[in-house]
Amino acid sequence: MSKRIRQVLFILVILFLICSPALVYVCDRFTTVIGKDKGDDELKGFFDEYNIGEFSLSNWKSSGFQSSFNDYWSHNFPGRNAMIKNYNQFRYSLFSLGQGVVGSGDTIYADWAPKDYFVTEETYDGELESNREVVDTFLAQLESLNEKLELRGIYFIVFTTPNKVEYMYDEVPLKYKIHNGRTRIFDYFSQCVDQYNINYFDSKKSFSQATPVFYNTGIHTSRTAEQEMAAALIDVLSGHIDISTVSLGEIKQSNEPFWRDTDGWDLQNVYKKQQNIYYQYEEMVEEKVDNYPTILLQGGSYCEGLRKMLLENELSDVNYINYNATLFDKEDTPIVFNGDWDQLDWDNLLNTDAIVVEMNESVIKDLSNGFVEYLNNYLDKEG
Amino acid sequence: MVFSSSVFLFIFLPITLIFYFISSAPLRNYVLLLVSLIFYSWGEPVFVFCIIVLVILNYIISTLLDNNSNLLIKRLLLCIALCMDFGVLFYFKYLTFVISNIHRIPGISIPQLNIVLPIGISFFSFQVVSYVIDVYRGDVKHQRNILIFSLYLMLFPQLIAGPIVRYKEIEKQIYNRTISLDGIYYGLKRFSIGLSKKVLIADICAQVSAMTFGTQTHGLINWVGSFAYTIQIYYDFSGYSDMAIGLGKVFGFGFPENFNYPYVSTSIKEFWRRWHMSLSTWFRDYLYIPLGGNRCGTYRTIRNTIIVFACTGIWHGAGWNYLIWGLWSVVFLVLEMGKWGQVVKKLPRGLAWLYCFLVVDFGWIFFNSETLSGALQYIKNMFIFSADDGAQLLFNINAEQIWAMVLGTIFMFPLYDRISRRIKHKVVLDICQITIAFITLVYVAGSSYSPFLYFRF
Repeated sequence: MSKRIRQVLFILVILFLICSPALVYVCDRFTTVIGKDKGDDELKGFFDEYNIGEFSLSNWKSSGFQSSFNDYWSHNFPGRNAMIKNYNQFRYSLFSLGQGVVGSGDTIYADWAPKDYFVTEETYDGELESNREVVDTFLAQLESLNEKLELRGIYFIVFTTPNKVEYMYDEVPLKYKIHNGRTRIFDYFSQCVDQYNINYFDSKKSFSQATPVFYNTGIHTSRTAEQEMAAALIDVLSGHIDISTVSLGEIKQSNEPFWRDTDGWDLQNVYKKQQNIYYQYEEMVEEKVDNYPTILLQGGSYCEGLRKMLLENELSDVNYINYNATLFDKEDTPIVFNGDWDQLDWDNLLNTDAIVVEMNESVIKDLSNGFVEYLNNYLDKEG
Repeated sequence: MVFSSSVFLFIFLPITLIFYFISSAPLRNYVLLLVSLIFYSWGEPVFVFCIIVLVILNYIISTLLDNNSNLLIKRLLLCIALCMDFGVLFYFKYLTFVISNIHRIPGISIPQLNIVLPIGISFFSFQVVSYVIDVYRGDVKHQRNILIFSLYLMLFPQLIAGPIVRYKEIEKQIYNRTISLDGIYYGLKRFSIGLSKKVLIADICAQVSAMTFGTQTHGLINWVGSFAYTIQIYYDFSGYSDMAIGLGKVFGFGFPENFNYPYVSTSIKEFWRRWHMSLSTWFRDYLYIPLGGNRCGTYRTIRNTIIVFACTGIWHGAGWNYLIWGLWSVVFLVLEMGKWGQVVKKLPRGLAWLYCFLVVDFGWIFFNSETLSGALQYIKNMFIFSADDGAQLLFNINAEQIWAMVLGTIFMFPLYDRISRRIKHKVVLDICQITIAFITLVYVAGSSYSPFLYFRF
């Protein structure tokens, strides 16, 4: 190839690369081949939204316009999604880097899962006296809350959800497994919980393991594990409040995920596809009762399987407090309160048959995001 | 606007190239001036007016200098220009630092000012001062066209982070430059190499150094952190210089080289001949030599070296740690002037290299720490080892970061030049280059905002 031709080709390719957003934009307008609206390029997950910003002299002077334009453009330029996928695929394939922790066999863990399981941070050592005191105090608060709610005729139960590492240990990257002699806060919690008057449900005891408890592709427990956990918990609730129960029937299977079985994998936004078989139980309402109770549910995303079962089978109304950030009321209307518990209508929320608090084993130290402490104080004030 | 941002790469650069190449030759300088003003005002919408005023005032002073033969008046004009240009630099860059140090004196209280440091002011100041001095000395003829004069000072490729270009280096090129296929090819190649250095090596090594500087880490990870910073600063700065030189080449300009593989040096003296050459030659020509250089005895030579490197240090930043960094080099430069220099020359090349590299590496610790005490604590922590150092390192550093440091280490030596000379089919190199450019752009899209280290100087 002559030097001249080689140089021209090189220049053209580089120019093509830097003009690619403009070319994608033009193609998007005039063809159906490529472009932002063509479905395939869409990234999965949630993203902050950016606006171009208002162009005015004052906004220009303060660099406000430039800043918002920079943000808008860097998150929205045409062809960006494809470049992001290439970026993710490159890093995933070469360095096993992605969203969360990437283990062997394309196993995805939430960042906190191996950190908790292997206690990589000294401040989370369950042997530390300060941490044990925190757990002891929290358990006492749970007991106190239980007793107060009993007086009000409200059934209170706490359930814990598992850490994925326990079920997919071998796939965790080696660097987490280096022994450091620390123990988990959850281990101390589970040793002590029976010493208190607390209704406690360990969801791990409900897993039949006939199907995977976790998929390599999911951050959360599998659909079937969620269903087993929810059905068992509802069964426990039915012993204390009038609520219909659910039995799990035939297992359906599919190559497509049921609900959020691939949430961890989806967030990688790579070109590589996963070939798994996913499972879901058929749900049947058993022992239907006429009562339609109300349940106040507080916790993280791991309790949403319970909420889903309650609502889809019309077992109860649910007021769901997600962490300490948002309340989803019975009509599923989100009320954002961002930690300001006083904003919530507690008269209404305490007009409930049961209160269920979910905590993942990894976040015991979060102390239910302040929910238990707040409710204790609130009930003390109310008398 | 930084060169590694998507706004620059996908909007500003393509539009600039289009307008530049469709313009007729006489108009191209004005196109460049206009886009340079837009480029700078994007990041500094207010200070751009200060720059314009400085350009006008320096133009007036230079005109008067050029038209005057009275030595006293010329000296007075030069003083005015230097006071003005360095005064602006002092105000924006050093006044806050001076006030905060005065506050340490008991009984004195001066209101603290909230002065924002405009990007590129250090480069701009030194470039305009070099011009005025060169006009004063008669080394160059003053540029009568104020727009062309503005173009020289504000040309966007080298405006915010160098290299510092002397007017005599591009005087002829402003009116008489050749735009050729070769130039565009080499320019784009150089630009993409610089971008890759910045995005694929410097920015990733920055993640490692950020883990250690300003934190409580110690032992092995601190050594790795300082090494990562040594790689980061070189690739960040030389990457930017490559991009500036590359863009200049595309437009037909030949900017001076700024780095010549400084980390192959086997002495500190050699290091400073290879690192940030446009700055070190500036200090040589406008400070060191006027002070007498090395031609007035040992003590004066040492004095001059101390002055130059103290100024070099504080040019980089308003802080005691920068001054210490500058003086750190002086210690070894002075030692190398004496018997130690003879010893270093006789050392096996590998040992001499190790000596120089470690001195430079430790120097960067002062440079990168926010305070002097922070730097000393960092160095102290480097020698506190524990049994789980290896585990800590393994836990905190990922494969991508390791590769960035490995590649950074490999290419700090002039291997690319040697490899490219040996490859017969140059199209192979071009394909590799394009692949790396694509990966770099993909990283630009995927990575978060990352400013250059130097453009606050």
